[in-house]
Amino acid sequence: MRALHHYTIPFIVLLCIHLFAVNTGSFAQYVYEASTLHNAASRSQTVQQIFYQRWDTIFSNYLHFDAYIHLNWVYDFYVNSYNRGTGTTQAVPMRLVRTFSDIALLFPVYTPVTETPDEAQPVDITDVSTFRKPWVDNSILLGFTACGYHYGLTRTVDINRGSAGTESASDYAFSQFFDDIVAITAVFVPYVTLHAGIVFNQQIEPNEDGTLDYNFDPSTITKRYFASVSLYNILTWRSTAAKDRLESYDISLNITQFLSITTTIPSYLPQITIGYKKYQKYNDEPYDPVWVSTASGKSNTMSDSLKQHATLYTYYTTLSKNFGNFFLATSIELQHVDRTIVDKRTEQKVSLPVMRLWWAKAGYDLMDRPGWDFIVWLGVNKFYDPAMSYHSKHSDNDTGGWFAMIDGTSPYITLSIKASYNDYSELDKLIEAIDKYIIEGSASFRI
Amino acid sequence: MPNKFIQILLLWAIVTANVACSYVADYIEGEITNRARFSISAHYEAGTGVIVEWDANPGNDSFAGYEIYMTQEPNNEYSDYFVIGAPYDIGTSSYFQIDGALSNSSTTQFIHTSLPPSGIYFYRVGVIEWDERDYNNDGEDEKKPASPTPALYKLYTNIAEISGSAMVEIP
Repeated sequence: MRALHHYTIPFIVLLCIHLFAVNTGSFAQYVYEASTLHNAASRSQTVQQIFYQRWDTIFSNYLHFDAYIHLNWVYDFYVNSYNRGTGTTQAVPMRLVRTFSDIALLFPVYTPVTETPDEAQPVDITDVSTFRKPWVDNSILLGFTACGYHYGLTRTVDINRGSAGTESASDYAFSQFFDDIVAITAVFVPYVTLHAGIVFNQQIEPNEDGTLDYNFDPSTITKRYFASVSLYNILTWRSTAAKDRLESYDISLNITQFLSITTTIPSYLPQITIGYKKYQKYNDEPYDPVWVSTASGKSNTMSDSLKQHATLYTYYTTLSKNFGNFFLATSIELQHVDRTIVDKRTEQKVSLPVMRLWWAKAGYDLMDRPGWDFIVWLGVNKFYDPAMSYHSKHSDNDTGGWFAMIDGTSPYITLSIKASYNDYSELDKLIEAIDKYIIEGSASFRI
Repeated sequence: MPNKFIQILLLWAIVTANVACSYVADYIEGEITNRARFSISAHYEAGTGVIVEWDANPGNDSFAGYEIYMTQEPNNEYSDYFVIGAPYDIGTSSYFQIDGALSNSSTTQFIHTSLPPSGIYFYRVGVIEWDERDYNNDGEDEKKPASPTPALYKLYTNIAEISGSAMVEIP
């Protein structure tokens, strides 16, 4: 009970943030029009990002099975909607719902016989170190994953049941997007880790009455392919391809791990990762804020064959360090684009600032037991995107943001709750989330 | 080893085919927020009223009844709803009707005769379930009371499933 007392204040802080978020209905009202949710390439990046995060968790905790669910709500979307009662279009308050689920398996297909089997230690289910052992060197592991992300707007309606009280219900509104990954993983411990998979992008229109038929129709599904290779967990290459082109790739190098091959790393040095990403970000699509090369002759209805493409190159460095129960991490990301981009509204050339992003976060683990964590995280960031003022009433293209999170981990179950406002990771997924509060909860079961 | 491999692979295939995809998380979120799950039809018939029809198949042993809802304002699809039909007297509007047939899970139709002034209205059907609690004070929770009463219905029921909306023009 005394231990619980320590968690009361952080819980109340997050509860206050949540209540503030859900009750600030008049904050930052903006009528939602063009939607970057239609950008399947960007959505594919998002679903992969979570895929890789899950696998980082699986590898670092020596898991065989991971089932994960993640629910994310963005409030205060005002969407121009046709009212069948009045016969007119009006701004209707809606909520953007983003949900993710994942199920992954990893098991050894070959394990070399070790000379000193350690089977004498009794298993204690409260102590992960007694039943979750590091993978044996030179063993081969095989993994399978299926995961999916759903995005869509929903509208809440109050139902007055008279003297039985009032409840609420929700309807689907506008296009719903379903992105799924099926992937295979192979690991030759500790030398090579391979992932390869397919991303299925699907868009389903809800019925007029607010219901949705999950009509799995292969003819409406677009596919993307992704692969990644990691050597010694030091050098990692990740890429995504559409049917006719390489859409993105990301190369990163863990400097600290790399140096540890040849020398002893002083304990005060943080983990340092540097990386380089190439992403074909601007494609003359209706949801893009800019035209590529020139505005002349361009329109949102132009044919695909006339569309031009510009690639965004980013360079990032991330530092992280643990001091006992205290965690610190920070990162910066620089950018440049390979072609001229022109603002769709002003037809003026857009000059991207060199700094695209910086973030810093700190966490403190209130528990001090292997396999058990109760971490309170706080983070701040600064983020630039030329789509910011295009898809919102935000006056410029950069913003500061924050997040607060409580992350609970036990040997088999994890729970997490997060509140954020203009957090870069959310804006990078969906720029229309700017100036809106976001509430997110997730849970996982693992073996 | 090959047998074990095949077993695990099959298990993964079965589980993932049924569980892990974008639909699943959406379905769970829909359960939390009471997402409209089934469609209904409604139409006005002169001399009869508004006929609301559904096929919900509640099929659970905590079923308490159906309730019928209508938009509070005429000509506004985005208006909130209030109850206009239920198996017990819970309504507070003059358009409310008690219909004992709504406590039967096989009922699929409701005729609304206490109609509002002319205009476009939207109807929905709710499947109501009993809260799981100790109704007979024996120290154990039951899925429903042995003898349902209006008082219990008002206190211990909730919307288990709700339909999408159906538009009706009342002349």
